[in-house]
Amino acid sequence: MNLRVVGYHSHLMLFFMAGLLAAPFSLAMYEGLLDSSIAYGITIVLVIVLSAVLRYFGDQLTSVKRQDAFGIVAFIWVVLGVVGGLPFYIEGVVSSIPSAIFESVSGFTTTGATVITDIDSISRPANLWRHLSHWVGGMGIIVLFVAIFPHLGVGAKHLFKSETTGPISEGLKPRIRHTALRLWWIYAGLTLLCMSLYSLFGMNWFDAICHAFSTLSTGGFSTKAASIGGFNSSAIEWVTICFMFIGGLNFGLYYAFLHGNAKALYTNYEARLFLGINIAVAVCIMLFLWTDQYSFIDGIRTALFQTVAVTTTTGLMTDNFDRYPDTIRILLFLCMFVGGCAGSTAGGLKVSRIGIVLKSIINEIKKVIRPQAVYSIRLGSKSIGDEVLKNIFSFIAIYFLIFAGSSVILSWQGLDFLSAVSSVVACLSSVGPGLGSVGPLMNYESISTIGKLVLCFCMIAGRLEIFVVLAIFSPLTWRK
Amino acid sequence: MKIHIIGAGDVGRYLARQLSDLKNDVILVDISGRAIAQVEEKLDVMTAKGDATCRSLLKSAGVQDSDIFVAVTGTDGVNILASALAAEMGAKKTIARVDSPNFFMDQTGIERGLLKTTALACAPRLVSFELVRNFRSQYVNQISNYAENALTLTAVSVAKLHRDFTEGLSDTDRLFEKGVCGVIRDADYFNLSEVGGLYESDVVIMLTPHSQFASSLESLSQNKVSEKVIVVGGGDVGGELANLMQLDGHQVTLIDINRKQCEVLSERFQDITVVHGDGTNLVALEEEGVEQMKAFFSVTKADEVNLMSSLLARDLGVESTFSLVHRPGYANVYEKLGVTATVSAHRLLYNTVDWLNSSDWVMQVSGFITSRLEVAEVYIRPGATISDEPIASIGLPNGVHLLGGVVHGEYLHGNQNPRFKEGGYYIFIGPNGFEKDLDKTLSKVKKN
Repeated sequence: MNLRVVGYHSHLMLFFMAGLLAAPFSLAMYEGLLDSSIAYGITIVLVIVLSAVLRYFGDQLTSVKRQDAFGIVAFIWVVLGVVGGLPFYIEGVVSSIPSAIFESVSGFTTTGATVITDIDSISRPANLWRHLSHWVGGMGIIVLFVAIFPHLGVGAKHLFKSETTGPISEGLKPRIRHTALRLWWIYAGLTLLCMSLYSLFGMNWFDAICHAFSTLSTGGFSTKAASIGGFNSSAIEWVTICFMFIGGLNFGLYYAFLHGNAKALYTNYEARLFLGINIAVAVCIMLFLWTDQYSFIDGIRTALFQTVAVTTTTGLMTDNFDRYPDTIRILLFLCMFVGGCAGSTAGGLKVSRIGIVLKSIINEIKKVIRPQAVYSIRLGSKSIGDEVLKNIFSFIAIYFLIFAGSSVILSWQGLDFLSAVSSVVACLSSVGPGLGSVGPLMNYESISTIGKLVLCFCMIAGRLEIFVVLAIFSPLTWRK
Repeated sequence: MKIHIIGAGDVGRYLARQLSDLKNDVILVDISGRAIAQVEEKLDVMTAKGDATCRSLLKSAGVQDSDIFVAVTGTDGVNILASALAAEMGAKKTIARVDSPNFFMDQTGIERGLLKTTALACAPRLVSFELVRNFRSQYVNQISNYAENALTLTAVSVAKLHRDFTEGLSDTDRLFEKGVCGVIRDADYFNLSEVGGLYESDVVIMLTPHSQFASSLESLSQNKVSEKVIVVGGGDVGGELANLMQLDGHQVTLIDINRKQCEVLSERFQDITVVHGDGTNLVALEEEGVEQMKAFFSVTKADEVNLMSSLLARDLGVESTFSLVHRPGYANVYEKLGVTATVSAHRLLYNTVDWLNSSDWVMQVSGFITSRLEVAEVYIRPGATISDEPIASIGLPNGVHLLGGVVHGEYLHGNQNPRFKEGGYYIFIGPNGFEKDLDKTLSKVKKN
């Protein structure tokens, strides 16, 4: 890794981050909030100074190699977490620095787990920053960077691949910058649509912006403690269900749709499997809700909402799913592992990986019966090579290793069994609310500092799909 | 522009890099996953894995909207079929690399229009022509090939001819016949008929069919040029090169390490000495009397053999060594080590793609001798409707002269008052930037 190359490109991204911070700063100035203005002002100055220092030491001329891309991505995500949390601490929204970092990391990784105990009373700039971090983190700040800066060459490809999700990342256009641009346009367009529908159904403009950011990015932050449930509007709930689901599908499908291939939307194997999982889980919840005083329609809506909120790893809610019977809680817990589709804004293992693993298991069973037969694994029309399969199995293994290790640490930090495992998976898969003491009605404030930092690591590792994060710890990356 | 490249080998990757750097959208197709992975690592282009002779794959790669389709895999059949299919599916320009010289009916190295493709390019021939051009350039000031290598345009200063012309040009007609068109004097071009005699500082301009270069130069200088040259490597390139050099009147010795190949070559070329031996063996080279050779060509399939043998030859005292370089990016290493000139198939194929992608009429423009003059090559596409008036009377822009041309292998001298014909190439000389005016003039004389 060439630290000077990392420095130069990171400086550009930090500059960009200062631009993002200008949004809550302007709002604070506009509303005349002194505390908020100071908080965001200090942070902006700090980011610009850091950016200038990096520029001074940076190397502009050398192109970005694969190792450098890892470095840039990891550095930016750590800085986003730490610096992004600073205004929360300065403004007094959170009580401690670890909490501030947790809130910020949770925002950028679109986890949506919060440490803020009284959400309804925090300032609007703070809320805007929380939701903006969701939105930028959803499609990916690096992807946005690649889309905006034209000079990156093949380095753009390495950067793009280290932030996009799924087992196989492929471009939509011959140039990766154009791919990134298309994805962001689609993402921005959908967000705008969601925002308009929210305000049409009664949200004020601020809530509409914040929740559109939070929904499309499958984040989970809300301006209300009761989340979407606080609006008491079935129309808003339906809009949320739809757009969470949209956020959980592969954005490449929308590109295909816009280019006349509408079939892609319903013939895509992963999308179908994802829909199937959602329907199956939703039906289970419906059956329970109908016995629990819910009307037919309310039951369907509430069941779909909780299901989609968990499977797309959004974490918005209208009901406390922690009070559901154990069978349903276990189902939702398992859904947290699965997550959304590859190439979406959702987290988790990804449906395509699970689909491939299931198919590979079926093939193994077939092989027991007919050892001579040769079976291939296909995902839609594409066959999956051994390399990809190996990668998927090791990904899942590492996912569970991190899950196991972090759960042990969390329970050592005083969480009960259910809270420990569910908090880890909720962070690793970027869901947000877990079960037990981190359930939908609770928050993460009570967790110790060590616990919060471990969960921060889980969130970033989950968002960047682990390998990139682990690569940073490998001596190979640091070799000159 | 949307450009498809089939084959992610050295040549394919080189083309992809060059074309992608020029802001084109490049889609690279290869059948090997490993090659694709290598490209993914190094280039910002889109890739597709699969067999390029399958129409379904071509379709999914978007070949129907392709502006340029280039097939450069290692297999001729695949390249020809893939480009024919691409042309059929709607790709605007299709170019295939075909290595076997025997595939072609004529000697030029590029064949247009076969199977609806734009062009099939014979890489070994392109390489041989370029090597010969490099060799010939030692005798003249500037030399370039036009019209798919059918024509050679030469500029040679009177001083280099070692002949006294000052008494006037008594044999103008004979010089015309030999392809001499005119002279550059004080940085301006004059037709041969306009100049009385030639002076030391004059530069003679000569447009000849490729094969008649030697005899034209000979009659101009009244001095026969016949040199001893050696060619190491008897593959497609070696065979073609030896043949061209022998047609120029040189004494060629061809060395190949494969006994069978030597037998084939000696059957094919009666006037060439074919030797079975190792071009990297010092003793073998000494035995062939390398030190007396004027030039040494190393054109085997292996870069290391080419480099090694040309360095040996250099050490033994050969004046000029020419080497074929297969791997992109290595050429300057050779030149640093003392090899006179290198030629690479990937570079020539890139030039060919660039050349075929030219505007409506003017195929290529290049500076000539002085910074004030340029030469342009005009190609009349089959099916183009153009006036059949003599070219001299269509109203060429000021200072523009027709040097000559070639139509289906038939050489035309600029002085014979030729007309435009479909499929013909015409070479013009004129002041800097004249090609735009020429283009306008040509568009005007299009028949409606």
